[in-house]
Amino acid sequence: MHAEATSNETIVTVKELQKSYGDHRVLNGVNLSVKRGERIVICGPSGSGKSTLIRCINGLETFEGGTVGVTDLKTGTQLTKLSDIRREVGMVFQSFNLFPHLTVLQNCMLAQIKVRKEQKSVARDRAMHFLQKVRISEQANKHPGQLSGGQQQRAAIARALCMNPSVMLFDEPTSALDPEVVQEVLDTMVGLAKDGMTMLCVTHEMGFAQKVADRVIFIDGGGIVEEAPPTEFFYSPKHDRVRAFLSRVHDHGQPVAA
Amino acid sequence: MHFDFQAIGRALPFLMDGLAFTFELTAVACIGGLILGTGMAIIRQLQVPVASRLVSVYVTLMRCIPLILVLFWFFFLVPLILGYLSATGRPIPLGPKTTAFVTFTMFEAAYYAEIVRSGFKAIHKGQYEGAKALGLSTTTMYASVIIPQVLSATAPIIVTQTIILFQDTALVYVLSLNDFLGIAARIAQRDGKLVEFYTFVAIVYFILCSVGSELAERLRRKAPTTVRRVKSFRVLGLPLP
Repeated sequence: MHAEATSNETIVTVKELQKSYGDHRVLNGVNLSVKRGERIVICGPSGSGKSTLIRCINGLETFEGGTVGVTDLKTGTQLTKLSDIRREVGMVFQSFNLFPHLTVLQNCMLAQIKVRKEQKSVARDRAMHFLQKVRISEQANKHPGQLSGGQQQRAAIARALCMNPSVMLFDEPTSALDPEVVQEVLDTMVGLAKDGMTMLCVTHEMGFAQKVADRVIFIDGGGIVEEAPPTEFFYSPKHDRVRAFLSRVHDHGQPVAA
Repeated sequence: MHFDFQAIGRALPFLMDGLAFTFELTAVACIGGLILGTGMAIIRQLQVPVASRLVSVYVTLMRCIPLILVLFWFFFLVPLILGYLSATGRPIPLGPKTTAFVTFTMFEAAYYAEIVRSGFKAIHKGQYEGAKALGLSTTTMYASVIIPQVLSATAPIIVTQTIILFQDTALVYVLSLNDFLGIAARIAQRDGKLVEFYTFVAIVYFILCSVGSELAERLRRKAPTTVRRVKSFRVLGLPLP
């Protein structure tokens, strides 16, 4: 599972990112570079800015300093318009954010039709393809409220995949799920990784990180404290803060309240 | 005491004409007001410069002045204003029917605007984020994701407001228009059968408004909650939302 990224193409570049909420400095000059096919897990204590970091990438948060760049792999150009960036970057949220008044299938088709301007039939086929991939195709005509949490999150993943993104952001995708359905979502994400999707994942699931990540990044106090491949990160971390964090985290996930 | 309820039967065609007018006024004010009100709520939600300030003032004005005053003001003052603005300088009369339809629409729009605006606030922030993350334009986000949910969630309150509107239409009495109550009152006074006609009117209003209230209650029970499965609810033993 630790195959090296197969190319040198950089998809996401974050340079000296500064972000504050009022007086509180959340990100203090963060630098990050993500290559095609890389799987990066971002972890850290609550309030460390890890969610803020990935939300700055697709413009859900504004920032005061530094730059965020997303490259269009087909043309090699840097995308500057937010609408273009959001087309290439998919996101999965902790609270799923499925549209409750639409069926699962309609959820997956909406953006394809309105943003990528696909024909309805093409959109439907692609939606069913990805719903099959995440193994909830039989729920296609149900409304999100009729699904379990795990099924909803998988539907949300399928919805993001329908837009053919070049990179997927995950913001604590399993943190709001009951323990018994966490694994089905993690398995789906592992499947995505196997298919070569570039992934940035904020999570507490250390088992997943060990299995899938090319790099694990530890953020604390607004900056990247440590950045290393999983073996090095988990078994011989350089910084005390990382050691302290890891000792509080169980094998399978949720850290004790920081 | 002898009550001649047969008189109602004889007057029924006229009463039905009046009821038709009442329905017509309610329908126009409801639909027009909803469209206008939703537009105003969107302007405030998007914080459009200048326009949202104007909308804010307009809504406050309409909600703080009694409808009956707005009716009078519109009927007497607007022709004068139009006359002043136009070339002739003479007052342009609007007529009671136009006044009624325009005034009620504009008045209700202010109330619907506040209802829809509170609906926006009730939509989970994640819905906006999910839509943005997918790359949906602001227009598509509002049209396909937010507004349908807002209208669905606020449907019970909108129906209640419409019931109030339905009852308020009786105020066109001051413009000498022939709505249901107006016609019944006129016939009752002409024939000296006040008890019979007013009782009948009260019963009809009661039945119609009860049906409306029941509809509002059914909508309230059916309203979809924004979907969130939050683990802590189950852990804490609380009922799921």
